[in-house]
Amino acid sequence: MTTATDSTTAIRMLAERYGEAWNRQDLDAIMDLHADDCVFCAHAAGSAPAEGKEAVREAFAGYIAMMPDINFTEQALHVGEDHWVLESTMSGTVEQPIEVEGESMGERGSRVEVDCVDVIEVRDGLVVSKQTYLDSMLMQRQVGGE
Amino acid sequence: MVTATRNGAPPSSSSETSPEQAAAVSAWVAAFAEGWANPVDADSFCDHFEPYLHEDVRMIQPSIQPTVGIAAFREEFARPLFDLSPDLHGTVENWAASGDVVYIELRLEGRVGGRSFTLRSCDRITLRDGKASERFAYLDATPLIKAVAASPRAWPKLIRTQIRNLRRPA
Repeated sequence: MTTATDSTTAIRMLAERYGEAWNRQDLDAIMDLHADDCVFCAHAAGSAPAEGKEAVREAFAGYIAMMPDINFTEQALHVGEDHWVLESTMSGTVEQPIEVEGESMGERGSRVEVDCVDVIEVRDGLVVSKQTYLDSMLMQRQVGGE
Repeated sequence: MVTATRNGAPPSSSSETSPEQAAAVSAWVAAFAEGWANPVDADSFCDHFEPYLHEDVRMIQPSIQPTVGIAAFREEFARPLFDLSPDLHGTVENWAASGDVVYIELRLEGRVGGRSFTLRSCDRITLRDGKASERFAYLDATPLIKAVAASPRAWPKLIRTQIRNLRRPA
């Protein structure tokens, strides 16, 4: 019999593996932890939801290409039986600009440091939904996008 | 993650939450959802929320100076917001709790000068004795700012809000 504690322990381990993969910028390792029907949405200017593993991979690849040293420093982690919520500080150095609503954003070499929260839902040990909330106006100011 | 409106699942929370905490959190989230569902105006919004807030509640959100206290919540947060978007309302899409901390995903909709906008936030609410002592909002205010930018009639209201922010100590 699986108990709630077993489930939350498994989720916590998954969250740790997932965070480590992101901080290695290891796209294959990140995607290995996603379900085929996963969705990703960054609730930030110009970001459209990505549905399906390939679309999510493409979206993540865009972030890593923009900031090859992208890193998430954990501030708080709350784990449930089928989800986790991670508050973190996302930081990185802009390597290449990204297109936001038709406009190029990000001056090469500028630093980004912005607080964000991820709400991540899990099914059968894999990530099925990642909802990311951040203050993109602050991010745009940091990279000289406005 | 509890899905309050997406599939009607019953509330759940992490194993770090006691039954008493879970009950308090559930009640608070229900009040939060009710308060945002269809507020008539800033005063009715604040009247609804005040019993669920501590006197020294801190409200922290992007683009607006943090507020401290119930009076500031009414005068510096709610009034400017509803002045800008009188029909503002929100729907709780998801929530999760851990101990005295609850995360609420909220979809906010409204109009600014006839321009509709939708934005989503994830609020971290810290409860103390069943009332909120702090609310920290993770959100991107770009849709609201764009609606304001496209509605010149709303500019004076936004400018008044910004001047109020500038006058207040950080």
